[in-house]
Amino acid sequence: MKKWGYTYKEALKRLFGKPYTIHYPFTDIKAFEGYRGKISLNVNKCTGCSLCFRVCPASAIEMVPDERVKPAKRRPHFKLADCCYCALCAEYCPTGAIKLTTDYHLYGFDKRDVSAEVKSE
Amino acid sequence: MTFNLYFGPFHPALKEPINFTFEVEGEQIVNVKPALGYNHRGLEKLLETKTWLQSGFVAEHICGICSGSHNGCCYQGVERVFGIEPPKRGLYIRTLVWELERIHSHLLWLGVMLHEAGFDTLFMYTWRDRELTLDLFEEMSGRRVVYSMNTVGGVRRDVTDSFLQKLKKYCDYLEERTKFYKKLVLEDSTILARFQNVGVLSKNDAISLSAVGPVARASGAKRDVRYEEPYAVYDESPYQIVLGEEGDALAKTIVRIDEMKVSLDILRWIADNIPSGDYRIKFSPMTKAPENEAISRIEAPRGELFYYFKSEGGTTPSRVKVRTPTFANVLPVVKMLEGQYIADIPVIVASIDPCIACCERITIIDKGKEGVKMITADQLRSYAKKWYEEKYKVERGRK
Amino acid sequence: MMSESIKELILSLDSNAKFKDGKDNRLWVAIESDKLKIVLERLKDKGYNYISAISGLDQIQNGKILLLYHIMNDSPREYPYITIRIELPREDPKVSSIHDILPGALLHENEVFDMFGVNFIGHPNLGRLLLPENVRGDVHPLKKDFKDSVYEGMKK
Repeated sequence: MKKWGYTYKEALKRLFGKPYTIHYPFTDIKAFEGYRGKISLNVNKCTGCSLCFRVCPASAIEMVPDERVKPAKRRPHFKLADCCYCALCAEYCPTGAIKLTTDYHLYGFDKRDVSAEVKSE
Repeated sequence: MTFNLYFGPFHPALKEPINFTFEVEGEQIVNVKPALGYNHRGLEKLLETKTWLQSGFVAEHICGICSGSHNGCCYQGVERVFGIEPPKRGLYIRTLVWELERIHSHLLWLGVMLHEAGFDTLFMYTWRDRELTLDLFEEMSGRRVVYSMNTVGGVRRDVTDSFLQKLKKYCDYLEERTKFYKKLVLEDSTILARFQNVGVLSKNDAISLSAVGPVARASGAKRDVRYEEPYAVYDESPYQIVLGEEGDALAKTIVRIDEMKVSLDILRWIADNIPSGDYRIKFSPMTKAPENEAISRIEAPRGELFYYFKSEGGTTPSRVKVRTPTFANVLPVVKMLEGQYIADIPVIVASIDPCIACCERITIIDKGKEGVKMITADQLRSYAKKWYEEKYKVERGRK
Repeated sequence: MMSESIKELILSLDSNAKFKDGKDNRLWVAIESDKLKIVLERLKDKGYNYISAISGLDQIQNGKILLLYHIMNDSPREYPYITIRIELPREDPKVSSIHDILPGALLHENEVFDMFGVNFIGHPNLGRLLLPENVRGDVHPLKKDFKDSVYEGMKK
């Protein structure tokens, strides 16, 4: 009898309460601080030393010439589809230009569309 | 007259996706032939092209579930090649990752094992508890599955005091849950009917076939690297070897549940006794290694993980040998399957803790009728349920 | 200690054996390839029942293929963890199979045949294990002279 009472009570509570799951695209779960998500590159800090290119275990970084800055320098280009998010590039970056954000929304219709944030502040 | 029953091969998460060819006589398996290599990715060759620092990050992608073990074992071997001793706090955090990973892996396995026996409610329960472990990992390392915590000469991130407090609370909660799971597994008649005296591996077979991990320990063989050569901080920790006796699927379940309890004890001990100080030493990414060779062995959740490194004095290793635990457990599972029933295949194969995706495609070739039948895992499971129901009806009728 | 008695035992079987003591109770032994079976048999009487792995090593500069047998005792805290090293010629490497002494070595031997082309005499089912069965001829990827465009591009 006690069991049945518990069942009805739970059922009624769940009928009017909030759903137990999260409505994902509308409400978001925040990642913990220090999550290794999307890579962001600060162009102004980057010196083009290519240490990140040499240290990357997944060969996901290419050094490409950047025309936006004169004289043109070589900047890392992150192929996020190949990236294993180990954060070695951020760890060994001498100027702190590379950072990993807490953004884990890495999707696109083509895997080549998913690219790193490039900031210039 | 025997039929051939093909089982496998797709099995994506392990290095060893297995294809079994069973010779069956009626319901009974007479002979088993394993075939491997459907997912061979050439990682040993790839590791020869990576530098010492990069090797661990490539190695951790060998297995998704025991990524921390591969990562840690690889760097332990690299440290032995270089002759580096990591600082004490680094070793404590490394052990914390390994033990937390063992709990996460065993909870995952327990859910899968019970799911194979048709007990889906408990599958949801164990995976909910596993989610808490993954949250701890995310907070500690920044990722839920591929942690990348270790590096040459220590770990990459420190743990905070608030995290350790959280860890203790988690241990208290999970201790209650493991007690609950053990009680359920030992008392539930469905589980006992499916697990007891199924897939028995005798102690002699376990020793002679070089079984590793919980599979060997459930048969009573003392095979645990933590016991054999205490690495990292295991010689100081309250570690105890967990042994079973019967060697059947039930004993393997109980050994793993008990092991989770031992892991929780070690985690609590780490949270109380972790020393302060440095957690890593500096390592330049392009360092050249001395000419040396080293063996690194650790106890991964599934058994002994083995790495061999050979250096010829360059920035990359000249040879890396990886032996994963499931590779050693292929011959024991073949032995376990002989003489068993078709209905028990999912439980026996799951009992050595492989990834169970291989169950998804099974072909039964009936030699006599020359017809080919395709069975999915769901069909096999429902077939197993029906088969057991009928068997018990007959037994009840006799009574 | 026990490591000394093991050394004496191996020396009595092969007088040219070379030893190297390692850290963490390790013992590295180099013996002749035709003495392998008798050494393993005697070590099994002492309790060496467990084989971790057989790892091959291609030494292209001296034209040798090395095989390393990593074995462990049933009472591992007293007896050392032994790595037995044998040398085989690079052209047509042959060694007798040890699966009748240590049954756990069966799949490891298959893997070494697959990756290095070492012929194990007496093996019941020597064939491709990890590579597809339809790979024919002298294709052994872990040999140093194995050419593959993918790996060549990866070397920096």
